[in-house]
Amino acid sequence: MTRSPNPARKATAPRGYLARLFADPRFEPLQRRAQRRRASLVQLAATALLLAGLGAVVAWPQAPLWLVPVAAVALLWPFAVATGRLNASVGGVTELPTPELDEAQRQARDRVYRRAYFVAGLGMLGFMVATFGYADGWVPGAALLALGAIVYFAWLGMPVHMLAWTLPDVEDDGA
Amino acid sequence: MAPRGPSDEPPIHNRIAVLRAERGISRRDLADALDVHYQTVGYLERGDYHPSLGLAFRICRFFGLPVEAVFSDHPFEPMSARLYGSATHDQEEP
Repeated sequence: MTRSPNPARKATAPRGYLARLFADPRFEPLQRRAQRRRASLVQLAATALLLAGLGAVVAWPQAPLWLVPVAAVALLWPFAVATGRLNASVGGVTELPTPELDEAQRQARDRVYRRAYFVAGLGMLGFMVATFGYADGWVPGAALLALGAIVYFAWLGMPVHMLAWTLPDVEDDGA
Repeated sequence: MAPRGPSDEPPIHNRIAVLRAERGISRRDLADALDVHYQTVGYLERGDYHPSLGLAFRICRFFGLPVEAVFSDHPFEPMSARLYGSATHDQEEP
């Protein structure tokens, strides 16, 4: 006789490192709506700074070679911190594996990924329409760059930012 | 977070906040007992999220109450009204 999975098993299953990290009570103030939205804006600014900085270094023909790793570290550091804060502000919903999420978190994650995939799909469709004339297979680099940016931001960035802006706030504990 | 079908489903009312406050249980303690995120308890209490049947049963089991004592498809009558409502109402009657 086969036994069905015990639904109570998950309640006693040990949680992974990331799940325990994101459940740290020290992140609770960061999970307020205003803080989440601030983290989202800061992460966008850090991303723009990273891209602009690296772009400027790469586009500068006389740039000394040592400047590239120095700029990368200097710009990646605020980007990494801002991204970490943003992920913590939404409880790591887009970072944790499915078994580590509860049903409400899974529903929220699925909702934002559905929209993100839709936007990415529209972007790819737009790319195909825009490059339809290039029948010989040659596509301008700028178009490829735009496609890459759309896919990157729609799939990787948009879900967590959408969560940061749309998750409901939770008031103080009454007990 | 969008509730579980808020616009196309009738609302599900619950007494989780009242029961939790009545028993002096923190949101985090209840969340740990139910194996959900503490914010999910807040979403449940405010009706921002409607639980699955499995989670609803876990909540009822935790409080040791039948489902109809915790969840309802119509608003619960306030406890004060249930206990004193009719008497107060009667006194106010001219």
